[in-house]
Amino acid sequence: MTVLAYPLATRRDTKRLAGQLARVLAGGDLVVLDGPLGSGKTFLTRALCRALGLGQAIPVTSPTFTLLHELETVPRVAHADLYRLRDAVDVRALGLDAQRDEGRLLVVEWGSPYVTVLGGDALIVELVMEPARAARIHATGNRSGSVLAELAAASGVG
Amino acid sequence: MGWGRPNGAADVGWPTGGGQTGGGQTGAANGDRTVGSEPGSVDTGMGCRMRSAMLVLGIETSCDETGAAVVTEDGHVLSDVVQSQIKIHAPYGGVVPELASRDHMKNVRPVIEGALSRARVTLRDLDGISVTARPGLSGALLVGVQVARGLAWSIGRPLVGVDHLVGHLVAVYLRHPDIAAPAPPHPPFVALLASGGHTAVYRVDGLELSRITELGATRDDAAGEAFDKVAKLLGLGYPGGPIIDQLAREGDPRAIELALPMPRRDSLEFSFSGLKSNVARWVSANGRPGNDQTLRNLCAAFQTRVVDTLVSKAVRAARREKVQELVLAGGVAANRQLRERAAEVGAGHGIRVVVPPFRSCTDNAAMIAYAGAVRLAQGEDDRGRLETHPRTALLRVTRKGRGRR
Repeated sequence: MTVLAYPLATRRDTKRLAGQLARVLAGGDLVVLDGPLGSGKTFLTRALCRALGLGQAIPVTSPTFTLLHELETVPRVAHADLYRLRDAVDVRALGLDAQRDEGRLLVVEWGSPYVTVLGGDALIVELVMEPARAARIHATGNRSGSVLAELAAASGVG
Repeated sequence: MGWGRPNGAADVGWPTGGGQTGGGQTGAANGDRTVGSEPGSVDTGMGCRMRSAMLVLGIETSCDETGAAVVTEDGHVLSDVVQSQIKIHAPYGGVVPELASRDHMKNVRPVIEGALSRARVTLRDLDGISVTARPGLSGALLVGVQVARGLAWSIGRPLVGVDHLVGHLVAVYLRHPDIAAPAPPHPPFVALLASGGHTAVYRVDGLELSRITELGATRDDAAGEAFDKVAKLLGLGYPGGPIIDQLAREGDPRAIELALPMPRRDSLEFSFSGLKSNVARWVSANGRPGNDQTLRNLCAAFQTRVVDTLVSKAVRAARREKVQELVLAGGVAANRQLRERAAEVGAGHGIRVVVPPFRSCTDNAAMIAYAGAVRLAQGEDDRGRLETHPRTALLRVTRKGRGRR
């Protein structure tokens, strides 16, 4: 399995990664963000939304309590957070797979246990804090695999 | 569509039968809160009520809890039922939300029946119905809105949709019969709303949506969320706020250095994500503290940073807007240090800090009923055109002027 690794020493590094992701992702794709509290999942989502054209004045806040935010990017981003959810039944009740069917780019924090319920074929971005901040990215399906290949080609990281 | 709508005349008086005897012994109303007496009416002692004010039923399904309340137009709470407070302690350390429509659908009818019976009124006594229409998940909001539509149609009374955040901002006017409340503020005032899902500061010129403007909001995490997540990082229980508040009481906030979120003094925006990350970094560098003085110091350092940020920005907003009153709203307003510090700093600038009782601060349907009563009193009616929206309708003031979020 191919895993791309990006060191994220600074916020600028994260923004650069977000910019590269923005160029290869499309509506209907699923990005799952994984990593401990404070590892930068919401920050990466915000940077991705900015790279997808969201104005600086519009806040991209944590959906932990509100569960799902929709953002007016191109394509539209549905930003979900499953931190508070208990099991796949709850995740299914949110109907997030339908967001993809409707053409939104679905970005899900704390989503890695639920990739199947989210419609499968995920680009999984694992954010680690130790020994240094970094992103490790892999794919679980055909579409996400080609996104990963494009990302690798664009950034020369492997 | 059919589930939220009474099926014909038989349901018009739906709560009446159970209302006289039910007493809220409904299945889902096991953890509810209630009040018994009726300050908004005069009991003649003969079971006959002389109504002194308009009665409004409020329905709330925007977030984690299903709620219903009966409130008079002057803010007296006749009943306030929430299907549960801290219901399920999930393994991750938090409340499991009532997801989308499923649980709200199960709870909404018994909760409304409980609210009506505890207020000792029937649907026919109501002058109008108010329901949370935004912000929130559409599936959850729709449960309340559909039921409210059906009830309003069945009794032929007006229906209004309200913004959940407006509810929080007007909750300071609620009067519970058994709880002392501070003297109500007089607009214009500034309000700090800090909860698990929202953190923002507002200018309130009146109780209508159009007269409330956001001055600044969090750019990332809400204050209550920061408390819960830091409690989780430190291996403490849920909810994080009261536990950290308690531990911080015996800690030295200066013993551990944590960077202050959004220290720029001229900005009214908040940021708590960086502070949370700083605690995470501290824990990964030093290990998670045991139940010792280090833990208390870390809690004190964290809480003091949060409180100082909230208070300094709220007081700054009040001074900038040249108002004499600052209202604290939302669940985080229960924090002891926040109350004390706000009162202290406010007093230094001649600003009166108004803190509603705790049950008015947390999510409740009484505030929704009251926010609706304000609209109903002005003759407004959303029947036939009530829609749900995921985002708040409160206008934001930015450096570039006013605009929608």
